[in-house]
Amino acid sequence: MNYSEKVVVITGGTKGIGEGCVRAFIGAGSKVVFCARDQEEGKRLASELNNGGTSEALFIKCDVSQPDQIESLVNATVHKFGRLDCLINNAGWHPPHKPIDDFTVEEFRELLDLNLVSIFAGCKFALPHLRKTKGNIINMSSLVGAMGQLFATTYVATKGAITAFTKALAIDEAEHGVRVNPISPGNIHTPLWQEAIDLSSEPETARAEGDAAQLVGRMGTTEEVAKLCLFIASEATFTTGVDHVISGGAELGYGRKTRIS
Amino acid sequence: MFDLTGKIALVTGAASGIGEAVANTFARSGAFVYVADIDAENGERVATEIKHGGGQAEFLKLNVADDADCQNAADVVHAAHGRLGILVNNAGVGHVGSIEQTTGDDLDRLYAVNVRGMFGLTKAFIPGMLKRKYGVIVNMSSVGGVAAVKDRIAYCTTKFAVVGFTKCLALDHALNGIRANCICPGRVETPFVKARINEYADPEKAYREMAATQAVGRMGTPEEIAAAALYLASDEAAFVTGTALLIDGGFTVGK
Repeated sequence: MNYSEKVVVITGGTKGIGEGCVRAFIGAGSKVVFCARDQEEGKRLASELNNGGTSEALFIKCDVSQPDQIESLVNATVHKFGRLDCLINNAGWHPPHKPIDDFTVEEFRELLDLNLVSIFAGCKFALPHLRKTKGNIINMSSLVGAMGQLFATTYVATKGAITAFTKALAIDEAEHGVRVNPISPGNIHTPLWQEAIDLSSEPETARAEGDAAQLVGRMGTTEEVAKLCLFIASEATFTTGVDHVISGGAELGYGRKTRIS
Repeated sequence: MFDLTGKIALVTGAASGIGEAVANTFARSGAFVYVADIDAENGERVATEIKHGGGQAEFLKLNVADDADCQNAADVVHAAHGRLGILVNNAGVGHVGSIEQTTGDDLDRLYAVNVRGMFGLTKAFIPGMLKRKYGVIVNMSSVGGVAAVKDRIAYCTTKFAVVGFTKCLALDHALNGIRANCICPGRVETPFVKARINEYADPEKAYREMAATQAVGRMGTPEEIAAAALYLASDEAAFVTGTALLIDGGFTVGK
């Protein structure tokens, strides 16, 4: 699959699914601008990818909870490469699990800014450029946005909103030829997931439970999600406003769910 | 990426439209493709064109509604290659009408091909797939498999069934190396659809009206659906099972 000469912006591109996307799109011949808050990691990844003397990967430090920084990111991309074909709004965070009693209102607002308002801002600033190229947007939602998840009210709310927002935007942008699609991954073995495992009192059990949540008995890989993104960007030319589930069958079937013993 | 080299694939309803595009796409990606269809003339044509283009294909006459035909298909494939890696259940038939214009026989006819045919062919190949712990099944549903489409009561009934069939297949055999997914295309400009449009008094108006039900304002192409079948069939989609993948140009967004 080929996405060469296309210019792609990926937020949260230094780790996990975002890093997988950066690598996959570079592999498909795209020019990739990626951002994260951690300058050191970003520079390291960019220099690794540009090792062959090319300058296809560009890292820009950006905190997506600051809309003006997202606007600068988009402007810098167009300044550098002259166009924009695809925006992957991937940056986001899953707070540690806890009941609603233990979340503050302020924590919820901050997560909305980080996970949701950032995507609104990214789309808003990128669309004038994407309309020119009839490009596309991929927004990272989550399987739990549609299903719910234990002790994750704030995260689930942001992800459900991302899917809804993306469908609404798909309707508006269809007349401009811009496709807008959400992706809903199940458990993907990312550094964020590994962090949760490491912080758990029983890491081995936590990993095993993470794997067991899927019918296929394992978590997905960041590469697998990245290849879905590449498919949507380059091949799914008749697809807009569609949620793409990549979950290893986690949502199929039913079984013991109650926590009442 | 999305390479099917060395894979043996069988595509039903492959003599025209979406099935033909899937067969062509799979062959270009390196698979050996059984072009299965009830229509021998066009099926032979598709297989011959693939071979002339440097691909590997063979026509296989198959009526999926006939259990003996399904078993014969499995026997032929296994005798020649010993395995089938990818099964695309694409063959289907349509019917227009609300319940008032639809007879029980109409529903039976659609069910026989769209559901029972898919079941029968899958049943013929699943033992071999389970034995080798490898099999990818891609079933053709429709937007009419997840949403109501006006005056398509029999068609939607069978296409909703395809989604259920696919999810159960995925659930039952996930640990046996089997993946099952379905594709839900919106309006696609196939030769069949073009012929129907030309039957209208004002074909241009009919085209515009059919194109307008998609937010993108056009119908899809068979190649666009084939690209999704290739993604789902490839090992790159190893973490994708039990999904109903919409490719509908925005048919189902908004109200």
